[in-house]
Amino acid sequence: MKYFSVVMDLLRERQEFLEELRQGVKLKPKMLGLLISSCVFFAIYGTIIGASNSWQQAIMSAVKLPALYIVTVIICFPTLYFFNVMFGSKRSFEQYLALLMTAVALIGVLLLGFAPISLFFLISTYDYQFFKLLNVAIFGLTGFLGINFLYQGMELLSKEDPEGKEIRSKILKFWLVLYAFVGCQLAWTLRPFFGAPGAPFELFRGRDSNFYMNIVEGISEIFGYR
Amino acid sequence: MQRDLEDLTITEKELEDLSGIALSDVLMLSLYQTAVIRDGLISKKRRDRQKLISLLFSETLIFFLTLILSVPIALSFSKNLNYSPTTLIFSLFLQITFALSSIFTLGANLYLWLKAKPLATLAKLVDEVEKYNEVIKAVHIIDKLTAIGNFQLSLINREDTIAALSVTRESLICALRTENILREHQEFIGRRYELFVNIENNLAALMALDVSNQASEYGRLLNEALEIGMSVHQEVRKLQDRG
Repeated sequence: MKYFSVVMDLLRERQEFLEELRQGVKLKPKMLGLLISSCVFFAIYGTIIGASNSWQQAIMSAVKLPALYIVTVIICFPTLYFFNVMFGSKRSFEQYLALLMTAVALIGVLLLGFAPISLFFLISTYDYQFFKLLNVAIFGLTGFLGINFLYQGMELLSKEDPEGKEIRSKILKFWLVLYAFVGCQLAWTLRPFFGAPGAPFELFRGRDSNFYMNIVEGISEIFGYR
Repeated sequence: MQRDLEDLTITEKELEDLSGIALSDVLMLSLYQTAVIRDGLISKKRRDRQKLISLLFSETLIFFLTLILSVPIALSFSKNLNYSPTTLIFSLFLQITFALSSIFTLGANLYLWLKAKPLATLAKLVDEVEKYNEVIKAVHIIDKLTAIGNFQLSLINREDTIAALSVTRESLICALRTENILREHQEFIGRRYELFVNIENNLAALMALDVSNQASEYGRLLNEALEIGMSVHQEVRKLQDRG
């Protein structure tokens, strides 16, 4: 239960939390608490979105959604750390990882906040497309707020390393695009998360190239080029 | 709570300062000892059962976390397969997931067990501190009851109790500090036999030096004695020749 108290502290006093990160106070217990609570929150939300199909999909989404966020962090973190160190940051490995985990945990908490709304619309409407769109909006909003927080946190962390600050700002923006890129591709690989209602439970859909080719095909189909 | 009782309590912060390790770490790692499982199953004390439940809870948590890592791996593996009955793929996927998760969980457990081994004494001390704090709480409750007017329940020898508690507090604090120092220098203390062997060797070398030194000293004295003897002998000869 003490794992969740880390997230509660984060929510109540964000500035103090960031300050503690900057000073490197008790980073390992914080990271563990953030990891566990974010996984639990994502699992709860995943259960809800998977429940639109069947109970098997609910269980699978409960594991897939945390996996999506955490594995993306694992894949993209080395790039962030090494590029920042190369351009003048003197913060430690653990501080960067803790900041990333904080942003992910914040997204998890916001998703948990939207979970009752999602559940309500799941039960009350039978419109799958609307449910999908609603969830896209929720994911977009929570992602945006999480990234905003990450940006603030990075600014605070690099207050003490003034040299190369503009370059690191640009690196952060580039890294955010990279993170979105990897995240979307991983989400495409791990699909289905929702599962069309009435369709049988599928472990994974066939391998149609990647997310971006699929979007390009979709757009060209809309415009009549088939 | 009365002032003297408040002063007697050992707070969490004090405990952390004395032992040098965050309390939550100690509590979590103290679960990873074989004694916990044995006590939890056999004994009827509430505290031991609570520990067993905490251990089960953290095991479930670890397993769930490992699932998060093993599902993407198992998914990407089973996507490459081309068996026609999809149920076969699904069961293979489940098998891979559970196998990977079990390996990771075993690994995590091994790591935690190894980390918990040097902290066994500290865990026992923390337990003792908890029991001590509970005794203080009991005294506080009796104080409150007495204050209401329940004189039958009054603690007859409150001063003696307080004195005994403060003695216990001193010895607990001393034990925590000692444990901290011993744990910090554990490696050095473990090499104490090496140290003794070194001292022995050094002593033997010193004694050998001393012996040769003594030998040369002896030689010098002998030389001087010989010279003195010779000169005495010559003087005696001279005297004899004259007289």
